[in-house]
Amino acid sequence: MFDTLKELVRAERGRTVSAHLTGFHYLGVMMLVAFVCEATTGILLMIYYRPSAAAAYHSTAIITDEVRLGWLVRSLHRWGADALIFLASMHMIRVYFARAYRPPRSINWVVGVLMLVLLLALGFTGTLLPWDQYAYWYIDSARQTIAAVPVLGNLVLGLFWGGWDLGEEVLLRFYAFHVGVLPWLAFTLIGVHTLLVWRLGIQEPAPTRAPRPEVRTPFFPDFVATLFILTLLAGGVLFSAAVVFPPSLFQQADPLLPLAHTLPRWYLLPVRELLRALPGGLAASAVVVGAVLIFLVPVLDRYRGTSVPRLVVQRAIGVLAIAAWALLTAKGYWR
Amino acid sequence: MSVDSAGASRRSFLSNLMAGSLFMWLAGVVAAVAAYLFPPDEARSSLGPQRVRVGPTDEIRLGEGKLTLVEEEPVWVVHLTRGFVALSAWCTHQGCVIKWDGQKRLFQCPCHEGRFDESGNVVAGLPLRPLTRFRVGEVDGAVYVSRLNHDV
Repeated sequence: MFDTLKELVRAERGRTVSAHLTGFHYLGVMMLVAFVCEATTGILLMIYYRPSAAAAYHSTAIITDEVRLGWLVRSLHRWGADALIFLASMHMIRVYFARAYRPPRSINWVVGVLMLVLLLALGFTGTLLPWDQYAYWYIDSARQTIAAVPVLGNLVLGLFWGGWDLGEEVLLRFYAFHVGVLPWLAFTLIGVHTLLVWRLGIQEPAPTRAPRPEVRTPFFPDFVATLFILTLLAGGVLFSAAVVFPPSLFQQADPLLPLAHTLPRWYLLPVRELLRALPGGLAASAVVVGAVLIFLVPVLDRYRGTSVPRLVVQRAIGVLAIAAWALLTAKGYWR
Repeated sequence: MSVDSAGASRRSFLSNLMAGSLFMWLAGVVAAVAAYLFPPDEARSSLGPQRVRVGPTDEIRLGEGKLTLVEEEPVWVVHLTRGFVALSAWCTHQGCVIKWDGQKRLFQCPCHEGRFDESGNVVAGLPLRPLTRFRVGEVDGAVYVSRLNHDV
């Protein structure tokens, strides 16, 4: 087995990458590191966390207040989740504008969007687990949103919610999904995604001027060294954020004491704004349709030529989508 | 010669620095995880912030019990050979406060002669359900009780 490993290393020793990679080309690999951080801190949190309506809040309080460095582990887990979703979005934006979703990488686009959905689901289920007032009423307002989606809404609620009222049944389901289902699905998809990237290589940046000699650098140590430095930098930012802004823990969830305003997590703010702007069913359907369109990007853009106007349209759609998302986010914050 | 040796020493210095910082970083992570895993008293007690202190461990002698209040519910803390047990003192029949009989190792209800064994199970009389269990533990030479569902 050791020989096979040696053989693999020897075979990959000659691997090179384009010398014109930018920082954006490292986003995907950095997500691997962030995922390991999430897995590690997640397992550590499982050691003290107790998934029941009576004990969830107290165990989170114990982690935050009593366990040595427990607050840091919890904070890292929370900030790491935000970092993963942020990196995933940036990664997706880069791939979109590079049009790297075209064959033979179409499948990897779909796998990648699936992973983003998984990350959002992980973030969503994880938010409920502290079982404080924010968690309870945030998830409860989301329940009303999901129920408003025609056809799909009730199906999702029945399968993943297990009931209409937010109680221990839902907490247990969310816990089971958060630690027992979603991470392993994500783990599998990450494996597929990484393997495909390894096999196909990344779509390298096109030479900016036509007759440009192609310069290549070795994968090891050049690429790995840059990755190392970028990961350290990003890790430093993550660690500082976790130390300076640890997540809050509100009062224990009280089903009889509704919170008037629960601001959703930043990545779901635009969805909430959309819900406010349009009537319930329409907005929720718009979100579902938008998600399906993102999945279908490789099918919608099968253009192989180099006609400038057509490429401009592709870019314009991307810029408009980002602008709309940013506007809705801003509107949500400064409401 | 001097250039070569300077280059070599710079290379070894840098690689030592690299290995050293990696090692320090790993040691930091391992130390942090170890500190996290080594539970503090509150977490180790598994009783949590809502626990009630009954008294020092040696206050309740073997075979004896002590009545204490947990959130306004009277609770018997009894010292048995297998350790301490904590059971609600409310009889499950009509809610009278039961008494511990150390000789017979039974809880007896003064109202309708209901009897429970030292685990809270019904032995005789009108009660149908066993006594409500409480969590009990020893932390630093003192006995604490809390509700089972506040068991953090």
